[in-house]
Amino acid sequence: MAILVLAEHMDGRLDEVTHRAITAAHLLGSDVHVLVMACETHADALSQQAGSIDGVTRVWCIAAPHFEAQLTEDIAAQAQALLERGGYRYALMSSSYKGKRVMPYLAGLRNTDLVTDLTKIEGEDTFVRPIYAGGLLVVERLKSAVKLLSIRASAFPPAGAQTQAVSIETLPPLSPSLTARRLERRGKSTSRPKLSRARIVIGCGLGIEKNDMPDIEKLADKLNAAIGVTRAVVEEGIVSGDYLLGQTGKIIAPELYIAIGISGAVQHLAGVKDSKIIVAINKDPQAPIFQIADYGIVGDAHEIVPALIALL
Amino acid sequence: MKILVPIKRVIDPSFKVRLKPDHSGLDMAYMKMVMNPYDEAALEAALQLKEQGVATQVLTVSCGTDDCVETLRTTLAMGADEALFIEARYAMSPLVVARLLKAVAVREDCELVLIGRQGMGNDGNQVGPMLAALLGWPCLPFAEALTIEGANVRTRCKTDHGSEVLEAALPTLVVVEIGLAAPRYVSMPNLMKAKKRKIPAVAAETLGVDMEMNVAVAQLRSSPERSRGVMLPDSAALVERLRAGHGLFENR
Repeated sequence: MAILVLAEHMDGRLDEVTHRAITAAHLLGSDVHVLVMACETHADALSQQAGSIDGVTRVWCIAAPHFEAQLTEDIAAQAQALLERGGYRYALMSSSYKGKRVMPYLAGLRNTDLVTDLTKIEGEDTFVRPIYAGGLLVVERLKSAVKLLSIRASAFPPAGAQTQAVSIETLPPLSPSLTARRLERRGKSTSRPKLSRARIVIGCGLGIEKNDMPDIEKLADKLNAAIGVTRAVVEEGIVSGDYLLGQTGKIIAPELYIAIGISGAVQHLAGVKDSKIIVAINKDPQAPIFQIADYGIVGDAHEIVPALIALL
Repeated sequence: MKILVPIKRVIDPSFKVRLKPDHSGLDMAYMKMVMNPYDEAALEAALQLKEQGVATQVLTVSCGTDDCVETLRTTLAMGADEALFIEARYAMSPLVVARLLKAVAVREDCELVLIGRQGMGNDGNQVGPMLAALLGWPCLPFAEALTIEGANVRTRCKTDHGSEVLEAALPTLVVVEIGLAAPRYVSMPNLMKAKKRKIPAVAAETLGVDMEMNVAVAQLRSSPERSRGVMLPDSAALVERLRAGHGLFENR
């Protein structure tokens, strides 16, 4: 029985989260298939990329113009059609925004429950996922014949490359559902690494003001770091919600997380507590962030950030 | 047009949740319960659509134990027209909740469902898209902005790479991000009025849906906690530690 990984991609490039989903798939079995659904321009290149990831044994390539928009209904229906052919024990993707919409929709089509955002596989039907902002872990047992899962990407390392050739098979697309349309797409243009894959992340809380941002950006550029923020910073309008870290935003596990002017509410810590090293810089020595930080400095961010820039 | 807004009652997200000593469940002593903040945003968006004359009626629904009635009362005080309580004696899986909500949406002839992205706490992110699939409706996920013109629903949606604008015709389901609408305050007179309203209750088993679940909680565990580290005097000491102790910033 095989494992199906739904590929995630944009503009002809496979997302790193798919490499991580393939690592998780490999923990479930050795026959790992990747399903690529893309427009004709990118489908072949994406299938090649998927086939060159270590552990992948087969790539299904489905090309159609309507996959350009990657609508939930189209993606889920196509995956369902493939699962209906039989031979699969699991289907999974990451719990990215895309995974968060596609996998539960697919579960609805299949009339089954699923396990979302799992961080650990403990057996063929037993999965661990964090709840209550990571304060607790729940172990869930899934009884369905085909188990649908989404994995927390930061909990699994990306799979490496393989050199042997993998069979890429094309399948005919279903006709588009035509129920929804995508009118516009806006991407972020930034030269910095993405929050989800940066080795170093700088987090900013309310101890940071709008006019501190140039210094924070300078520090981020020096470290090749991504910038994330707390909800309060988003609500103040300092940056957009794309940079939100925490229970309601992105969940990360970089090598180094530097929390600047962040007090450390549980909702924020939920998004960063799996970082390898946490550094906290805060004026308030009582700030809860110091309880979980490996290194702390009590002091004014307005002085410490420029000092760090000078030292690095 | 009638809007259905499913409401979940959750532990106040600012509270730190602990397990009972025997790990059989959550220690609910001193916990405060609130309306799920995502659902609150969904309800506010629904109320605004009604005030704009786009919707005619807002129905809230909650599944669970008797306490849900209190949360539903708050929805009436905020301005919902009707509330429905689905009584369930045991914890249901997201799929069973989605089946119950489908039964209500169909029975009540709703054309739009606004549902919070996730229940704070369980953080499952499941019921919304699942319900759309069960209804055979399009799913407009993670909406940060919402407009309706005629029968067209348009949303600006959060994505992994930024945002996108999606459009679908009614009937449709919108999964709501917390920032979609800032919930209004409940006034005392409205709360007093809502207290006098009778909220109809229906037993989950009577809605004619399959109550079989295929996921079960096997165990609850405490998360390993990080311990407090070392306080350093200044940024120079920090850079020194990260360089020497962890090999960071080496190649700069």
